[in-house]
Amino acid sequence: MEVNTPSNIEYMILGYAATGIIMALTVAYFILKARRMRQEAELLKRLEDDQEQ
Amino acid sequence: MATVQAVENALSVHESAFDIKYPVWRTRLLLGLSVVTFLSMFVMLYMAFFYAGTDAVQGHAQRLFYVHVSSYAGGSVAFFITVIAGVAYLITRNIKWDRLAVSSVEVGLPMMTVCLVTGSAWARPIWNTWWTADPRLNGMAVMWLLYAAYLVLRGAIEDPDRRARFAAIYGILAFASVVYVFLIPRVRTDTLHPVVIGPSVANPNAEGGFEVRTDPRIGATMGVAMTWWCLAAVVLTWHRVRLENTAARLQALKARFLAKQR
Repeated sequence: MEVNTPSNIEYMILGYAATGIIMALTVAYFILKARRMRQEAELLKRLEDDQEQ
Repeated sequence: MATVQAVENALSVHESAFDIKYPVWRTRLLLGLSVVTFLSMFVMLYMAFFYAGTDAVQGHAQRLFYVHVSSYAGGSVAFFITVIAGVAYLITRNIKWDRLAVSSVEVGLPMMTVCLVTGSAWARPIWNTWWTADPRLNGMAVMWLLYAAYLVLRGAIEDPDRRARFAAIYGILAFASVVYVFLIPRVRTDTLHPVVIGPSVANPNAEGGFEVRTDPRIGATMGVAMTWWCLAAVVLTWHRVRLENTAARLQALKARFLAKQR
């Protein structure tokens, strides 16, 4: 039996692109959170050092 | 009096954050797993795009199944970790389990978002609609909202012990929605959603199904994709837990600093 394979590559690209964006945003959120905490820790250390002086 | 108790509880929780230590082998294992996960992602993508053939009936849209099904598996693993962490917290009352629970939800939710989005992108060419009122689809949406609400509601509780207790019970109960979504197309015949892995009832209403076992390349690609997403769920949760531990330590440092100011 002959089957006409549909052309729907744009939906595949849409789905994979959305997956990439969602997972990249998740990882970026983790990295940014880690960076913010490092900055906060540095600030806290500086405040403590200033107080000791 | 209750407020004083809450503050003391909070301070004791903060102090426990100083006890967190990581053995070197665990850090190395996490690093190794992270590298393996990153590199194997390219293997999975290669298999999905080039190794597995194009489905004659569904065309390229069928390749979305490698992400759609396996991201659900990965999300389920993450949410199952939430259940384990919830049970462990209720038994031990150790706050480290609460940190694991929230971390796993923060990893599982984006994975379930991937599942929803890829499912919708697949449904448009195959079902001719982005979304339809179907028990499986609506169940999935409810599950997503339940876990999104978990994160929102957690943020509304100040007392760490109360928050952890609430989150543990909520996390255990919310997993019922994951089981419901898994079972629904396997036991009901009024759903459009096909079952591509595992046994199910004969459903004449399901549209867009394909048999994984008929083509070994499809089966192998699905197997690799499932393994990858489950591994990614574990590795990302592990990283997120460490981040949560760092946040707890930072809170402890802040509490100590503020205590010195008095």
